[in-house]
Amino acid sequence: MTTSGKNILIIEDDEFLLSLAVTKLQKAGYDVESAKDGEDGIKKLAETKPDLLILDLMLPHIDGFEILKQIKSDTKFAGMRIVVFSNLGSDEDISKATKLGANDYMVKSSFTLDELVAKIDEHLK
Amino acid sequence: MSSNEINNERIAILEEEIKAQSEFASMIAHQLKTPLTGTKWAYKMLLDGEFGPITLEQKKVLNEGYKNNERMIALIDEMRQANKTRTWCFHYNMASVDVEELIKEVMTEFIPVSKNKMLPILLRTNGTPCKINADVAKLRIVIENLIDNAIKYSPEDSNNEISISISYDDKQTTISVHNAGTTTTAEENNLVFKKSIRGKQAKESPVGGTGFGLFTAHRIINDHHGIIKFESSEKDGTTVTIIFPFAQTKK
Repeated sequence: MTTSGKNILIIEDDEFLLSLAVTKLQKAGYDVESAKDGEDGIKKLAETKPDLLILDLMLPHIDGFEILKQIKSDTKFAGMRIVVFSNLGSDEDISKATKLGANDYMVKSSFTLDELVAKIDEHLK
Repeated sequence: MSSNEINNERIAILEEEIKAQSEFASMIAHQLKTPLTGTKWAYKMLLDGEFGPITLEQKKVLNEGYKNNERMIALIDEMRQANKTRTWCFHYNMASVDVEELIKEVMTEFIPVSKNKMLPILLRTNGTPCKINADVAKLRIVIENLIDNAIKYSPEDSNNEISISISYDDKQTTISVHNAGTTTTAEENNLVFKKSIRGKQAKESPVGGTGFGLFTAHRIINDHHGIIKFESSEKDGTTVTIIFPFAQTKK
């Protein structure tokens, strides 16, 4: 599929995970912006208005749940797809994130980056 | 305050404690899984040649690393789940297992570190080889824990070795892993299978550990209706022995 013109924001605080994910997504043809904490993530969300957000939940300053709440209350993000990509994986976490507007929930350690790209392709086709 | 009110208050305190423990375990699992996730993704990308071509030998090593990493992730998930349900029960897929083959596979994983520490791992077998009924993945965890401990806690001395023995007879299969040195006192030898217990010397040593390894091994062997024993002294070194006293089939 063509991925040109689609931009993705990834908010992930682990630098190694972030660098691998960005490399993979760029190779898949996406324009990728990244943020390493919640505060910077919210700033970049407003600046870039991405087609899709990949969101970690355990983040410094402002956590992923709070970011979901802010997105939900702001109409300018209507239509943006949100994939939560976290190593938190309890039923409570998944249910909470879904209620707050996440379109998908992937437990990082259970997926390869190929599978993440396949999931994103699905959301943005 | 009535006795009912006191009981309700106690129950509320207990429930709070259980919730706090569960949240703590969830946090630990999350922290453990983050570096393992990085390893998983990096190995996969290297294996797929995304950072350039790799040799067959490199591919073999990376594949082993990838599989080990996946096992660790699965173990953390399982321990997290077991802690959540507060049962510490694992699920077992029992099958006929060639113990000697399994131990040889695990020994291969430890070749680099044993070479690095100049600590040879030797395997001796005795009796007619048999297969045992076990969950091979769980048994692998036990063997890995024992060899890992033996290497970590062996004193640095060029004459030392890790000695593994398998002994078969009509009634049981016995596996033992021995290393020189000790990290426990006589009193602590009885406690090493308890959750999060590490010997005083082990805690004081620079070697990292959680105290979960032997606890997990004990639980897995118990669930196989086997016996696990820990003996350790300055003079005789440390030996962990596992006995499977159930029906076996000839290899």
